[in-house]
Amino acid sequence: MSTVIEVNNLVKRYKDLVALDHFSLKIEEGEIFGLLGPNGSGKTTTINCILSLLSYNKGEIKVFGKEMKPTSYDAKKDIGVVMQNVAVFDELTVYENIDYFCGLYIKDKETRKKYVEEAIEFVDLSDHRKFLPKKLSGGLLRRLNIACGIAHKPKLIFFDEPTVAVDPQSRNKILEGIKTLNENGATIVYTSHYMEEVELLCSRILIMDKGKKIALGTKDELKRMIKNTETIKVEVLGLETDYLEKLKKLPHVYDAVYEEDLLQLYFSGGKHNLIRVMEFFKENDISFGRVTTELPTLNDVFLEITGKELRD
Amino acid sequence: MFWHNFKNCTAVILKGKTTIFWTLIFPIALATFMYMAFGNLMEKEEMFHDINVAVVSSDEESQLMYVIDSLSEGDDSLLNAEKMTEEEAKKALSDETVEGIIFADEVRLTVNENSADASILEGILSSYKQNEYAIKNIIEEMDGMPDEAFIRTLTDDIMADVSYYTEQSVSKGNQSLYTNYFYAIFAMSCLFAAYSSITVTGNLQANESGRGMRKCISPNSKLVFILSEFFSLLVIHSVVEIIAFLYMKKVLGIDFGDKNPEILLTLFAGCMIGLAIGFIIGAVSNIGMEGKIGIVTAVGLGLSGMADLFVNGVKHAIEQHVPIINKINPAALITDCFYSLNVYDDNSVFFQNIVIMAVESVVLLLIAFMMVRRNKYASI
Ligand SMILES: Nc1ncnc2c1ncn2[C@@H]1O[C@H](COP(=O)(O)OP(=O)(O)O)[C@@H](O)[C@H]1O
Ligand SMILES: [Mg+2]
Repeated sequence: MSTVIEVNNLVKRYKDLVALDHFSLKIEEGEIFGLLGPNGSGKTTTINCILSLLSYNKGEIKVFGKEMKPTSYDAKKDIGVVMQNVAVFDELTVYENIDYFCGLYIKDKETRKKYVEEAIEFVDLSDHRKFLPKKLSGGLLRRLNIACGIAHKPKLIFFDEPTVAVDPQSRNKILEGIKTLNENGATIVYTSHYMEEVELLCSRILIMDKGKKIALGTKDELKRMIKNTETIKVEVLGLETDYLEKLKKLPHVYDAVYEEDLLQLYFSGGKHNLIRVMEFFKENDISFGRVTTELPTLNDVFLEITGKELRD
Repeated sequence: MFWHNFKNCTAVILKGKTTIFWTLIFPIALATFMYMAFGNLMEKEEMFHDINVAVVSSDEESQLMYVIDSLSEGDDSLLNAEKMTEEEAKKALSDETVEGIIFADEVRLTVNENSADASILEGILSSYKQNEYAIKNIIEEMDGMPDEAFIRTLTDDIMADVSYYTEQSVSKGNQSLYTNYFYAIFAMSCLFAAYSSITVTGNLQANESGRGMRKCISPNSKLVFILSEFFSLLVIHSVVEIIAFLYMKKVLGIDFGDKNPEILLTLFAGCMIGLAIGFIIGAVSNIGMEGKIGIVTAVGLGLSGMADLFVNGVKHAIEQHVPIINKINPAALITDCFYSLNVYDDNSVFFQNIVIMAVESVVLLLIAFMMVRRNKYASI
């Protein structure tokens, strides 16, 4: 396996704002690499720098092992980008749009025709090939945007928040599609501020904030980085402070909060935490409502490292 | 790639409809309004005729006599000059058989104040006076026998001058003075082809549109994009101008003379320079589409204004003080092409103007390419 993208100490400033602060990453062939971070953390800026669209103040960028420049046509041939904002010609139909952008890469007419058909099939727009973009719903428009980015069968594909403002049905299609592309051999760079998607899709995840790398690893590795292993929530009316103090002393509990009739117990390690909590309630004859137990999410990882929620 | 992009650009402009609608409607609507406004005048206007003038001179060989003789010769003569004694001349003037008396020795003019042609005679004299020193030098150098070509250019200059002074066409062609206003429409609509250029360059710049981003990340040189899109627009706008031309000629029945190929070449060169100007403006980043539309409008109107398209006299003033501007101002070049086709039999001035426009277009396009070639942007 070879390294597809290598970014070293990238610094990008927009006037006074430091959008990327000595940012580095390395992406291997065949990965679905997730860039997870809140809005404004620098995901799009990173992609645009890698693509040589943006100038940057410092750092090195290599794609397919070679320094990336605006004239690196050999590398560009094998790259596909699905931009954050839909980028198509309003004057052209679905088919014409895909055909035009595919034609920027594929000279041969027959091959191009085949590729365009495959792309239309892939994003399931067969019934809409003669539609103008303005006649497409948000989800379908996003799918057209994807088709325009991938029709030329690139080896490296960037997806910049492809599911923003997309209905759940289209969203699932998109995620499935990305998996398929990866199975067919493409390396994927996927950015999102939705941790669920990234968790579901990505083989490795880089969490970033304010232009800096915060953590990097598989989702399990990331979760192991933090203290929390389980959170148990119990709906209970009028819990006395006495009991709360006692609950905090249960094994493996490192914190407990009681607010608005909801008890939250945070555990670090331990195998039978739920049973112990239930026993405590039974012994003290406290009645309770719904009980849930949650494993840590990437949000918890983000929360613990940065002290703030990932979601905006 | 060239054709692929050429076709795309053509399709986008044609299917976009608004651009093509306005570029086509502009010359046609304007021509129709002018036609309705001038309709009657155009028919009533008399063709230019020779002006009867008496010449009082003691010296057959004076410089002014050369000029007067030359203005009285040929198909496109301006004057019908007759030598008289002072008494005869005064009598002729009071009988109104002549419009004025030129006293060649003193370079002085007496005119019948009521005469419509008085201003033309005054124009000739004042133009002559302005050039007197130069003429004198040259004639002396030539040992009193100036050659044909020299006198020819001199009289052409004077004719051109006179038409400025008098705001009248002194052309002997079949065309009326109002035809000039229709030439002006062509000049403006060629310059306003620049609106299409900025639409197209907006689709080429990563910091202006997602479409531009897609083009920038594709493995293609910007030069190919620029050239293919330029030629696409050139074809579209040439066709637009031809349609407008045919409309004015066939539907409105305006007489543009019989030099059709030359007129088409002028329109083609006009579109070329108009589009190239648009590419330069479009290549400037960070001023936004509104800013660019504003600049195109200002440049188009400014250049047209300098070429007398709104008020007469500006071009002449420029000719006197900074003549180089008239040699490079595309609006002046376009109208001058039409004018020279109309006035001169010989096409050398015409071709010179066409070549200047072509060279300017190439230079502007190259600069535009240099500007967008650096396809890393500081901000997107
Ligand atoms: N063109 C720009 N000019 C100035 N600041 C910008 C520009 N583009 C992005 N930024 C700023 O840079 C930071 C990173 O933006 P971006 O890369 O778009 O983040 P993300 O894609 O993660 O939401 C943000 O603070 C954003 O406001
Ligand atoms: Mg973004």
